[in-house]
Amino acid sequence: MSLILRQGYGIATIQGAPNPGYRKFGVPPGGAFDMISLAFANALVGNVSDLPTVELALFTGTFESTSKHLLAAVGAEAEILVNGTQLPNRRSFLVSKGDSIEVKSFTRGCRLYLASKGGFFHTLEGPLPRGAELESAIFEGPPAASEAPEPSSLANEKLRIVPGPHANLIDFSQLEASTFKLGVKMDRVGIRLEGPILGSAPELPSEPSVMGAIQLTPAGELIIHGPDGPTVGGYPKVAAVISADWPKMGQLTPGQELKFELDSLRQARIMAERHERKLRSQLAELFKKGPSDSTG
Amino acid sequence: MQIDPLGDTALIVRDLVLPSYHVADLLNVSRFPGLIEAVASYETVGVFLDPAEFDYEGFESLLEGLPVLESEKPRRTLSIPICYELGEDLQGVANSLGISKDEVISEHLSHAYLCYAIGFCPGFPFLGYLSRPISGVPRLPSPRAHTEPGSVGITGRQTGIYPIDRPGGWPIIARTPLTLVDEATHYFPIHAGDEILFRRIDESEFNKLKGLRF
Repeated sequence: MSLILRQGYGIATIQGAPNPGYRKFGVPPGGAFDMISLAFANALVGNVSDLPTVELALFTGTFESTSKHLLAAVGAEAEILVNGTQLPNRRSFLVSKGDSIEVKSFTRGCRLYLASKGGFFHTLEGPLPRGAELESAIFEGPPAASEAPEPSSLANEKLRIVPGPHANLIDFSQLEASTFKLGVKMDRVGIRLEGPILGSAPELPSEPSVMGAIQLTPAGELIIHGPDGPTVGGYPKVAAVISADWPKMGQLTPGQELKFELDSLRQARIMAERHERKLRSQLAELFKKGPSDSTG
Repeated sequence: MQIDPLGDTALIVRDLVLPSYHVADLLNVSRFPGLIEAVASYETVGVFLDPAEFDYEGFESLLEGLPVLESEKPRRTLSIPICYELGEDLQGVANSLGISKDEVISEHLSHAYLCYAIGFCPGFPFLGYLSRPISGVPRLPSPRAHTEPGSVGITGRQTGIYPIDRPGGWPIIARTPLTLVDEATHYFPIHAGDEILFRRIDESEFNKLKGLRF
């Protein structure tokens, strides 16, 4: 009733819906970095959209199945092999006891979501160690063969932002004109940008922060907070990535280039609504096609 | 009061007429539509919201109409035992301030502190304010990779406790044996608005109390 992580390089964690309500104790809500890929992976196995999955970040490694499971992987483009045979991308597949599931060669994007029918039990915190046993329900039945569309989060060369409380510390026309490069300093806590120095930050009393908030450090660097970012941050927040573009943040990779586009708050709210509506209709489409299209 | 948006999912409310932790508490029990949670930090309150549900104009009236509490007393006082002999940077802090270790200790113990915020990492209380003779200690030039759980640090006008092992930049002057956070069992004994009173213990008492909870 589980997958066992036999070996792996890169970060594998169990991630599903964010869990708010504990910020006042310093605990960020967390949750999958790319909620679009999470939702597609879950939909392919017939789950509701935010059940816990395995979030694989630039991961190479092997899982072993201890029983029958219905799985699907959506997100970053990578190779998935079951007992050495490569599977088509973004489709569900069945595994049996003793099968080996190998994930490797991330060619585009950073995070791949491995979903199992019924979800993985969320009992493990933090990066999964070798030998970790990921409990999930046994599945008896035919796979659902419908294919998920490519998640829009993979097109991530530009992020839309709105000005933050300390927007006056930088020049936004300069920010929009700049191209940033992403270094290796990026994880679920934050993404550090390499690029022109657009200003420098005074010391301020710590203020609440949120996913997508862009902080300006005393050295003039920009840092974007991720789902595990601090609940309270001491650096000025010059801007924030709009929530509709958070999934794109989860697919940013070291070495890639990134630009920003300034939006209004009103537009950001409209985008959030449009994003939600589009995702819902895509999921409805997947569910509609799912069972009838079975390969048995 | 001033409301600064932080993206489309959060607001920072500043220029408050009440202590930030009172405002956060009142907002958290308001059941205002689309409000996910409110969090206090020093002079501001962070409001986290669902943009699809949240009524921005209604929220302004909610803020204006918050009841003014008669008392601004802290909710409760927690006494936390700490051992200065385990404060690895105590000597360095004393040197940088130009006073003795004993003077640092007696100033640190001279009054109770208010918890203005919990953050940085799960359960880390931001306490204030330090008395003038021990204020203004800078952060370490380069943060240490690991901080012993329970380490008590000071910097600027603040003091705080690292409840778990984290990279840390605050000079460490003492350590508490108490367990101050356990995410797995949702154990978070210190809340914003609490008053913290430090009590000096020696190493043998530290060892006896090691791992205890409130």
